[in-house]
Amino acid sequence: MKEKDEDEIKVVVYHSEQEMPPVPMSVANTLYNKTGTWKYVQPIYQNKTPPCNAGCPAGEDIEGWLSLAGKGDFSEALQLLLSENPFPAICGRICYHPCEKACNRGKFDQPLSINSAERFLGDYGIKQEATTSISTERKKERVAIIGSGPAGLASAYHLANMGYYVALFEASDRLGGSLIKKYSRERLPAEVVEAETERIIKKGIEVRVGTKVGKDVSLESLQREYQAILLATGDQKSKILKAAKGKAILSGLEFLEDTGVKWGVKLEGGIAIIGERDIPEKEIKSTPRIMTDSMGATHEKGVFACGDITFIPRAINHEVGSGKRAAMAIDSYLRGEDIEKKLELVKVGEGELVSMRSYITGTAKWVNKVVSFDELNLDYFEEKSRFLTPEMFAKGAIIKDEIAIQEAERCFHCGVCTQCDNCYIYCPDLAIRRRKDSQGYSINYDYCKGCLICVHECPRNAMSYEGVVK
Amino acid sequence: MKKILMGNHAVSYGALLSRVEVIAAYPITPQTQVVEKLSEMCAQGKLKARYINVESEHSAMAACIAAEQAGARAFTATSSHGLTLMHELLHWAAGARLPIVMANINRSMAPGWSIWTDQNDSLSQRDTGWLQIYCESSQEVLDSIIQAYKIAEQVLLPVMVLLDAFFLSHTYEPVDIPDQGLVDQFLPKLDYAYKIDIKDPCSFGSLLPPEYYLELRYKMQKAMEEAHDVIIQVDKEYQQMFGRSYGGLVEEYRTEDAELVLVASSTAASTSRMVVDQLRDEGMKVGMLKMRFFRPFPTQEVINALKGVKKVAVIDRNISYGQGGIFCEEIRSVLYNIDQHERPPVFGYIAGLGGRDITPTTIREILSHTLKEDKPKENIIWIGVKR
Amino acid sequence: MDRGQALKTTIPEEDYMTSGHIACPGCAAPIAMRYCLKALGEKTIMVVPACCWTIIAGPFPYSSLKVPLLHTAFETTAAAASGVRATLDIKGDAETTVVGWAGDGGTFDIGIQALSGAVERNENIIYICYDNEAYMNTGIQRSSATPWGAWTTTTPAERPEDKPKKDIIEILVAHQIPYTATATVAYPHDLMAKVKKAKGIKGSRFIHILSPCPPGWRMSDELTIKASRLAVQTGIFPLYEVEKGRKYTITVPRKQGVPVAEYLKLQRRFAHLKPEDYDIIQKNVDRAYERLLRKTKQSEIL
Repeated sequence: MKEKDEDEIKVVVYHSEQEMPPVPMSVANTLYNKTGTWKYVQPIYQNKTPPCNAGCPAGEDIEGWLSLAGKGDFSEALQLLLSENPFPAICGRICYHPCEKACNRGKFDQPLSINSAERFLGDYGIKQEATTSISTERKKERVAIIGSGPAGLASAYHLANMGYYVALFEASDRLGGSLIKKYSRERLPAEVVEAETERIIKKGIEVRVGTKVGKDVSLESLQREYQAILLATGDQKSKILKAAKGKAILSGLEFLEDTGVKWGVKLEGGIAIIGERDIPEKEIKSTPRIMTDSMGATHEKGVFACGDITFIPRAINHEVGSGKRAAMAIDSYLRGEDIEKKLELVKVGEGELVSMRSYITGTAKWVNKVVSFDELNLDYFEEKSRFLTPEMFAKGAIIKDEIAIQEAERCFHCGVCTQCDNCYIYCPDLAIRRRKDSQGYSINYDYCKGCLICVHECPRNAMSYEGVVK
Repeated sequence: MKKILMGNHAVSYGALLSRVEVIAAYPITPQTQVVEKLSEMCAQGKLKARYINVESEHSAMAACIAAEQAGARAFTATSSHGLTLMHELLHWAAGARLPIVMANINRSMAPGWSIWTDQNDSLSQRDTGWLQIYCESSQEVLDSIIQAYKIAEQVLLPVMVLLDAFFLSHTYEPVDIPDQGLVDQFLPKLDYAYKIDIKDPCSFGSLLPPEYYLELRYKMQKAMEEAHDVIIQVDKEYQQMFGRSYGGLVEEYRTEDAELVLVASSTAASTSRMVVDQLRDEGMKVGMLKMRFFRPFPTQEVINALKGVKKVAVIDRNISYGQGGIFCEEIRSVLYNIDQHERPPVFGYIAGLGGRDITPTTIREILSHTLKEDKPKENIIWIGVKR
Repeated sequence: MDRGQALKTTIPEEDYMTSGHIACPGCAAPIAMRYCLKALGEKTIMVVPACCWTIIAGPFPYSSLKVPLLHTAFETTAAAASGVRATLDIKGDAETTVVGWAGDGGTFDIGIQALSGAVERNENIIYICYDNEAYMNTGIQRSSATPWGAWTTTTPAERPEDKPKKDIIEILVAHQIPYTATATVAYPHDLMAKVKKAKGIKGSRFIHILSPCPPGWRMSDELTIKASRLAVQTGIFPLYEVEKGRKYTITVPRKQGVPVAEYLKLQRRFAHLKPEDYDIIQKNVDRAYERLLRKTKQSEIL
């Protein structure tokens, strides 16, 4: 008689009638029968990029922090948010939130109130005086960042987190750059800017306000003292030197003048390489720019640029993303690594967005495929309008935790497995098991017949499929 | 202890003494007293069995199969249309190698409706894999039920015990009822090796592909062959314990120097026995071979009894349409391979279908016809057809 | 919010089935069996007549179940289950559950006599019919469970099934058995709750599981759960239970505004239907659902 061992694969072959029982009874289970050979398509279990994440220039893991917030774990949600963007309270107020436009739920009922949720979490962080952890590994290299606008601050923040000694040079007497110049007090109160700036500075960043590089301190001296220099001077007034059809050669950047850089001239000692680029005519007037690669490296070794000085002035989210990219580029440069090789890993979506967490951990949470609305199974979602709206802040209402939780719970979690068990429970072939480490599911391709019920019933396309050649 | 019992109640007592554990039955004339008595025994607590009042014979056998597969000693009784309704499941019971015992009251098949006896119901179950015991007395019925369980549980094949409708089922005779303690010694509790067991979860009766079907059927036939010796052994043991024997598969009666041997079964054998005695008294060298078992077929016993005999007359209370009497055909068949000089002519008589009485006169008519002819002129010699 | 999180917490990990079974891809029958065994646990004996599961269970000498499985003749499920129960009773095993597990042919048609007999005797068994609405194992021939309008190989599109699906639940309810319920694979919670509830009741219990069949319903393999879900949402297969032959409770209400056409259009067995046929089916579904609602209200009074 058979032994009870569920994982036992036993092939029974009787060579003579004497070996056989007299009755047609079973002596083994059906695991001998690898039904996986039947399939011509097979499911793939992998997290994909949520459209909100792909739509966030700051490279936030929006789905991730919404997921945590939906569980009521605001502290973890905030930490995840801060790992990509040090300015949730600021962004929650001034960001134009393209994420919400990207949100698949918008095609269903109303997009997630991401911006408001971010503000909620940002304010929660300020109230809790939340801090973020920095790398325990202190790095010997020193980085000078010129300009303390959102891009410079973001970069300083990430570099400090990575364990670098960072010095921040600010020509004016206040940190914040465009954050304090560009927005009304009602829209962005100074306390909020201060609080989130303070959180960055507290990481041990050396702050040199009222220090104009090129005037108060020479570039040569910076280059001697620092192994990397980041230009984050923001959108400076400028004038056109020469304009041709569709192209412009620009100058007048105060900074460039002060440091003696001539437009289009390579500077000795290696500061910036200023080049020419295609710029639409309508933008020409206000867009003198430093040319960098996608990650902020200039043609000059050790010199990087980020923020509005590198592109047409854009919103805060772009600045945060740009600062983050520069931080990665500087780190890679200092570590002697090729940032280009890491790009595929850290990219979010098809654009220039990057994930700091992917960069730090060396693993990506998703494959870089953005989940579309059509790839969701809407049977699992009920129509529900927003619980949390920007108007609630405008009215000065106190937002209860439950409201934020309910709003976060509206998230479809496009592309990201929530371990809902659908694939596991609906698999007719018991080929999908819960992983013992609670990290989702594993597919046993030996038995999967490729029916794709798991793909169809995955509400969020964390299960997709590919063809297999028999 | 002796009791005056009708044949049907002898069945019930046989089941009682065998301590059957599950009974599933459906009423049909002339079987009803079997199950009435059994349900009474259960209700009164004399028999510790679950009695299931199923809605058909088909379900009766299905329930017996399942009960036996789960490890209980199962029993049912039926007749005629009830038996033929079970046909599918008779194959099932045997193929599943379940030692179920069933009593069947031999009754003719409709149309038109007949409640009277012949053997066509059971003989048309010939190829289902059941052992068949044809009884001539109530005592033999009771003893055969007990023997049947012992045989069945050794060879793992089901057994059918057969009684002629009314001639036996409703005839009252004194029957010795053995002591329960002795029966318990003779027939220990069932310990079925291939039973359903929660602790050892197996499937039973699954899809059986061509690569193995043949082997399992081979084993069934081997079990049938093995049954031959088991039947003889069981009958001997029975005699030792209870003082009664039925000769195993067949009984030879006054055949020692017989020149003509009459082959009969069931109550016709009982009548034949009397006619043989009368004819012996008249100086004729006549004997009888009683066919107790039809399956397994007592090939060697038949050869031993009939080889070298001058003539053989077979009485069949049955017919295989397009061929002839079923016992006769099988007897002719087993004699075919013996030495030609020892092979007797076999006269095949069909009599008593549908409950027509087979009287001593009928048997005398058969014997005189056999004596008169050198060889059978026809495959079937009909007795009593009005023409 | 999706219902994903809730599922995980209540579906037991233990399975009493193994992979390698030979159901067609996307078949709902093994899903249904898996749920039932999760709910019933290891002390269960399955009695299975001729049906798709005869094949799914695997050929000799293998079994895809980790509980005892007795294969039995087509029309004998309920009788055979009664036989197993009788033995357990006589042996004093009150703990083990005996389950008859049959298809619609084995239940609605050839096995209904034995079923009626067993439940009339109030045999202490659970009878589960997994209904794929035709003789699928033999190649899609109609049964009395085939719905009106459906194509099968014996009700070809030129003359599709022209009789309504037999109301098996009402037949069982008429036997006054302690528990009768419907269930389907898209609602594992509901299904398992009903099986568990049935397990706790003594006497005859009947569960009717709608079990979509991709080849027989002529739909793509991955649509099994969707079809099952739409059957409930449209109300063509309402999920309810009947206790003691009189107390009706709808366990999953149908979803407002989901026309039965959505269910029908998923399956090519209904491809020949005309819009007016859809209307007929919709009307019948609405009427039947209204009737069911009335019964639930009536049983509140009772």
